[in-house]
Amino acid sequence: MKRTVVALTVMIAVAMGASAQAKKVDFPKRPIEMVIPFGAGGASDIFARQYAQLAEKFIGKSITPVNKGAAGTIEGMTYVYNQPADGYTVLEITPSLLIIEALNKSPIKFRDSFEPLLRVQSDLQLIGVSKNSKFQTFQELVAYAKANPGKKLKIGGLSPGGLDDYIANGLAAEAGISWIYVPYKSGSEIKAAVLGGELDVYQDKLISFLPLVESGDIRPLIVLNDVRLTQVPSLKDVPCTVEQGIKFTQGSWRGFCVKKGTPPAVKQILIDALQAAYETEGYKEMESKEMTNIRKGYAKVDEFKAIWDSEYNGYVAIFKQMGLLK
Amino acid sequence: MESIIQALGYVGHPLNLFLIVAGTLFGMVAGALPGVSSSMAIILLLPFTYAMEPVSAIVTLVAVYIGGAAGGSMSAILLKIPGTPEALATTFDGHPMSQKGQAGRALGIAISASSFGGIFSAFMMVIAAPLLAGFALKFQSAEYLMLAILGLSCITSIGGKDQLKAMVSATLGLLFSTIGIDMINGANRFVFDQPFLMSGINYVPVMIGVFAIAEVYKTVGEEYGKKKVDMTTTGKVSMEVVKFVELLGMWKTLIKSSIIGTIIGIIPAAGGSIAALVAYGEAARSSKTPEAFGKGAPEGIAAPESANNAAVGGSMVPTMVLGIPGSPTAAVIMAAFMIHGLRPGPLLLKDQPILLYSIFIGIILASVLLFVGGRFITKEFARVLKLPYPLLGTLIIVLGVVGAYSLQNSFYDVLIMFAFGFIGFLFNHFKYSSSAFILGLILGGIAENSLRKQLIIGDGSWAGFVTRPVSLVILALSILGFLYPVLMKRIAKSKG
Amino acid sequence: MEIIFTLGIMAFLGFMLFFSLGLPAETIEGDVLGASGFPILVVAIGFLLCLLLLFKQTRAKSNNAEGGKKILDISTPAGKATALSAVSLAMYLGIMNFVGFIVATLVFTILSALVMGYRKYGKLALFAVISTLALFGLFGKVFFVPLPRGIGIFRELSYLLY
Repeated sequence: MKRTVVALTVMIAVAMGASAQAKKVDFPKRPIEMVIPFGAGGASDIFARQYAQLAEKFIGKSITPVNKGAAGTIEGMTYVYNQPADGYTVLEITPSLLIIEALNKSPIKFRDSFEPLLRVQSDLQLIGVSKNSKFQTFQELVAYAKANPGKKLKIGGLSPGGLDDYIANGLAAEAGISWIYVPYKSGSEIKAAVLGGELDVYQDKLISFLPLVESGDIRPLIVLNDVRLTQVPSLKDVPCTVEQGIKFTQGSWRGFCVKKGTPPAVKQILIDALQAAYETEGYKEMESKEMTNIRKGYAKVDEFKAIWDSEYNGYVAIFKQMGLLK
Repeated sequence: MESIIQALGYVGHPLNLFLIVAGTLFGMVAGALPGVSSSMAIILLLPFTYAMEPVSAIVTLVAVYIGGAAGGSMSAILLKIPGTPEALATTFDGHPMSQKGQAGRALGIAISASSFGGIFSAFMMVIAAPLLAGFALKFQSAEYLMLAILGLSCITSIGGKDQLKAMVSATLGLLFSTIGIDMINGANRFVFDQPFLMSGINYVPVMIGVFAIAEVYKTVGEEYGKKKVDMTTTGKVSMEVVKFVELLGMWKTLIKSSIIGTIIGIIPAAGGSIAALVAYGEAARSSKTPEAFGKGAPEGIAAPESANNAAVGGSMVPTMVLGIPGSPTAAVIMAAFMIHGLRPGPLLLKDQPILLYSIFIGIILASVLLFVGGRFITKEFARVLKLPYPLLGTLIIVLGVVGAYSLQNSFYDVLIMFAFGFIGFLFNHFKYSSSAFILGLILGGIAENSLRKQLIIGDGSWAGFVTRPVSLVILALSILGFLYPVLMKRIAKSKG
Repeated sequence: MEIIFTLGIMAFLGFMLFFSLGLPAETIEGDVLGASGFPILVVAIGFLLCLLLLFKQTRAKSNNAEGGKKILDISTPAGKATALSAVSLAMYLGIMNFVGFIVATLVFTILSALVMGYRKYGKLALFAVISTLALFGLFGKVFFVPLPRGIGIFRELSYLLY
């Protein structure tokens, strides 16, 4: 009799515990949409698609990547903003969204409307010149730019007022020179323009930069980082900005966020799944192929939020200097 | 040589053969659906290739690319909806021929020309890849401007009877291309605080609107209430097979267009759509019967279709040799290279000689497959023409709506399509040229962008356009091309 | 009518010119055209061509008094059908974001075919169902296009399908 009572109490307790657990959050009930605010095929798109595949194993439902690339990330952001804050729509983010806010291009204020989940990876930016260029080192280039203010060098990048524009101008400001930033529509056009001699200076992220160094077409001049890239054989002797006294190390990064107001429990489930995906072997392999494992990109919620604010202030400062902001 | 045999053995593996067949078919379906581009199809297939050997993966994706470049012609010919931007020029003559009751012939020509272009460019690629890749670097801002002008010079060939109205149409297209964020200094132009206008007016929904939607309204207006409302005169779709002799008769057009396609494919940032337009313009210009163009001339289908498939092989050349993709779709394939740990560039060809030959064989196999199997698929697609017009017209509209939406998953694109349906209707009524309008819209961005970039590069000087030899040559060709039809008319008059 | 259309185009060109003039000029060194240069150039060419066209049209008009077919004659059945199908397309787009892709397409397919004069109701219903499902399957399932789901109950229902 006693045993039955005990058994019953235990059973009831377990059942209650289970139902309490179930009441807490039942998420996700259906597939989650991962909104990619870029067109299909770019580095950020491929990253998000691969990461969605890794993370869906840990969340129990599929994660569907959706491209909303119109209006330079604004369409994607607006779309997520207009969905309910229930965690079923996750937005991939890069510095571009902070730049949109810094330039005041959208009525939706990014930092006020979204909450970070996880920053996953961070990219390195490099500066180089064509193999036919007369510049052997970054100092030579700086010296030339200082000596010839009337004949400005040209550096290429993607889209005006975007991350590349910011990096080009931020670096120049730190180095005390000025050059002309010429915007192109695609990475392939920039490469062709550098190799064909139209542009004097080449900037790109590591993974796109490296093949041209290895083939001998591009001479690397400087890495935007605080240490040299000793892990990469062909770049181990290339100086970094900080050792040259230039405190500018901006690169791109990729992470995820949700709309503000998403229930904390739901957010936690999403964060856990993204975190678990980060720790998989599959992701390690993906990072080493894309060479995004050199600089630490991983940042938890609070750290990520702090990065948003500090980078935002940096953008505003440089854009004011460039005259894009008043 | 050894590598070729090795590659042949590799691609010849049954699994790889199956993948090529599946890839080509998947590409054709994606191409036929408006709004779903071949790059989208490739991205969707990417996850399935993770587990494959790198070479199989790349060959499969190239097969999708080939299928996509050919598939667009099906909806262009049957429904007047270019399934892909590359198939734009195919509508000019493909749809009129289909309306004459020769849908089967039009599709046959398109598919055969596509596969010819693919095979041609594969040979060009393998024989002269390193040599041709260098050519991609000769193309800088000044040359891009000239390429855009060369494309625009086709107006006189595609504009139909009223040249003046065609030119006005093209001017309007150019003007619409300036809407959105200025690509040089980031200023908002004609945006009127509407975020959806910031990335500009995309030409795919416009194309669907002015061609497909406007055409449906025109047909309804003309055919409403008639007993036998059908697109074909005979009432049933003729699926007559193209005679081989007819293709042989077009050998000049085929070869010339394939050369144009390969070259324009090699140039980064200019893909199959521009190749097809330029090839079409050239075919119309050099034809003995230019007046037949726009009314269902077989060369008017063969030229753009062989050119857009030749652009596939062409665009793979700089992708592999320089790591500079020759088209947006090639850029996605390059992303696949990276995912599989292959780094495109000169070293790739040295380290992986099999890859180049495998892609070569892959393109050829996929093209042959188009020729053989494509007929079967197109036949199935052509069945839609048997629908009574109220159903067919409704289907065209719905397909247009979904297509415009799918492009960027944006409802605004659907509204743009709707608005341009009306503009297209007015254009038809007043005999302005929708084709010339689209031409201006597509080329306006490239023209303005390269013009201003060259001016910045030259520190504000205009000299670069004429001192650069390639630029000067293309400029001369454009002027000739623009005036040629006009001059020929004069000469004909003075003779008669 | 022709002349009015030409004048309409010119008015549009003028409108664009007005806004072009307000755009920032040279902000990047060497960019001598600036944001306004190209549009102004195009508008100038457009004006020139339109003037030529007007000249031609006024001369042609004095020669023949054909004048014009109406753009759309709503008094004829065909004209009415054309206008109505445009209206039904507008309705289709209007309701799609509320009731979702599938419901909207079903309704539109039936409505549009009726407007265009189709009267075989049984076949039409079958066609509407098949074509809607086929498009949904191809775009939604094969190519993962996130088709509009609508709001409220329609949104919930759509999750059962995609």
